[in-house]
Amino acid sequence: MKNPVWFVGLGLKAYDLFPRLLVVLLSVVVPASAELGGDTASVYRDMERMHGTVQLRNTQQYTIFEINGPTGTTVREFVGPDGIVFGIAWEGRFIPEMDQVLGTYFDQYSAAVKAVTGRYFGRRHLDMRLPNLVFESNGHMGWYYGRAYIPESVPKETKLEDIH
Amino acid sequence: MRGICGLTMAVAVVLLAGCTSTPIQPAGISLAPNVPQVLNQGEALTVSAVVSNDPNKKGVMWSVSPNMGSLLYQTPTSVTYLAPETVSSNFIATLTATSLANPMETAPLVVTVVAPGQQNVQPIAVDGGPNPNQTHFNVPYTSVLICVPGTSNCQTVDGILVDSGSVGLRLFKSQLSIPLQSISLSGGSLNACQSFANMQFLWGEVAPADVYMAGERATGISIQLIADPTEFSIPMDCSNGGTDADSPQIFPGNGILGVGDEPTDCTLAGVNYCDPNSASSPPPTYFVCFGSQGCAPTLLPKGQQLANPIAAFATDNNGEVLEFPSVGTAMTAVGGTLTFGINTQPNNGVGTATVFAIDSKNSFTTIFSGQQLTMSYVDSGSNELFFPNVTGISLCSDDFSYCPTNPPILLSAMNQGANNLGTGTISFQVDNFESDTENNPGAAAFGFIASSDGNPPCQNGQGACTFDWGLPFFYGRRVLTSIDLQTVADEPETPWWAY
Repeated sequence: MKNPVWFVGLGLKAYDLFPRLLVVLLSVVVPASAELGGDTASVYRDMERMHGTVQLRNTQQYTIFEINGPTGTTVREFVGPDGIVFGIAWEGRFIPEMDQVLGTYFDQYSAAVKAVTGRYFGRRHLDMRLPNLVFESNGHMGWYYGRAYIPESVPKETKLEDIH
Repeated sequence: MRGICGLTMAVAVVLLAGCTSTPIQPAGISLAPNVPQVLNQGEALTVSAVVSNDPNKKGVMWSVSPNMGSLLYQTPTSVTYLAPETVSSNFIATLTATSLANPMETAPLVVTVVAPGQQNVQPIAVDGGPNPNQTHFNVPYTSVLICVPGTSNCQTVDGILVDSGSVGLRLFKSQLSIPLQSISLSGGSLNACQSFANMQFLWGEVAPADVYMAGERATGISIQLIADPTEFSIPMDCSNGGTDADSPQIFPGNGILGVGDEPTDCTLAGVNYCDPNSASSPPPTYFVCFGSQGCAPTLLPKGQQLANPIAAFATDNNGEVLEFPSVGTAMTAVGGTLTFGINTQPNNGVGTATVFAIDSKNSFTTIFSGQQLTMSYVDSGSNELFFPNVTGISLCSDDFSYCPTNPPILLSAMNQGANNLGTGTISFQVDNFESDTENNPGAAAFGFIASSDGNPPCQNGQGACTFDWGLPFFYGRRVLTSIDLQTVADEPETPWWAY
């Protein structure tokens, strides 16, 4: 299992990197965590809470902050040119902490989940299309994957299937 | 207090939910042996009793319930229980010693009598389940004998979901009458959290227990006692904004028997994510809780983690065989078997089944209508086939189940094990969910129902990437699940599924 390496106070902002780097893989270890709808600083807060390492990857439309937590779960946070996290995706042995990665969208998510799963639900996956939030959760014991994004904040020309 | 239910295999299907109670009050009588025993047909067991507060040495009288087998050579201090000469299905009998000086004092000894070749065979029933006024379809149930460790203070809990897709025995605490003591850690109580992909969760204390099924025993294993805490809130790391499945409206039984492909609930692909020897940061699986001061996630040695009860058996501990007859469109109820071990007995061989290796994400690949569904799996705890709506089947009014306009639809898919170990094509039928359920009111088993698991594509490991081969897949098949880190003679490295 990977041990977290701490690299304190790097203080990079996602949008600072845009002009300079096209495909950069930084094995930075910033205290990591970003949240949906938050700014880049929130990415680092997420990372800190996850005790994770982060890698950055730039594309034409957005930057991906990939946080690898020590419990074997990977969270990718998608930051648009405006510096706002418009999508998150996860996969791994454990489901990430939703209050952390969903930020201000957590309450909306939680109310919707409770409404649809407050009865016998079997092993069904979740696929919720809410007014300002799409939330998908899938997988089974041993491996979980899913994603959440803000449809109106997804940069133009971004393919939704690329949020993974 | 709830007592032992003696069930024969033949009636278990019908009576799983109908156990009667026998009071058990351990008192000043000590028996030897003092833990549950396993006998073959025609086999004898001598039991002795010592009464501690018996100045006149009156001793005890003996009885057996149900009245199967015979009590021989009865004295105030010993008896020989002789199992019936011929046993066609396993049953549990309770010998009771009653103090002659004080008839309120009794001591039980539980004896499982196994039929020839049934030492590792546990009956299962798809019978709608134990919840009043609810018929849960395609859910396989069994009953488990559970005891305070090292004692014959036991009870049978019925209506337990048999789940090859999870690990560990989890019982609703409200169903338990025996005094199981939760594990104490640093002065706090140890709790477990089970999360499901649909964001439902189960919370509860972890307690050691002796677990008996058929003629097998798993002694001192950790189980979860599902219950809401009274002094604190369930930590957000566990609830995660989702739904507590701790209610009969949500959970289809009295507990869940997780007999999946890992030895503990915190192991994946040979790695233990909770044991301090292999993990550095505690995942949201175990929590130590200090009353009103709340909880913190904790690492936990693997020996204290929720164990796959099969992996904890002394024998037949490398996996299981689940077997059901064909169901056709619908049946009121159907019985099956959970046979412990693989290639360890004449009744659990791999035989002609194909072995499909499981990858490090606990999955294999199902190729269906051009889609590579890389997160597919076999799971007795899923009550339908769930697969992406690749072929555009009409959905029912619930916007989820398949309701083809021209049923039945005949489809096929190919399963492919990890590293190409195992490939095979499966043909399956999808009926109209609404017409099958409406035409068969009260039925608990449906062979041809399925639901959508999202819309394609499966791309880059996100989206609709799962074909969940749930219980309809098990009907008319023998499905084997081997356990990671165990070995199966003459077969590839575990874990794998075979059918």
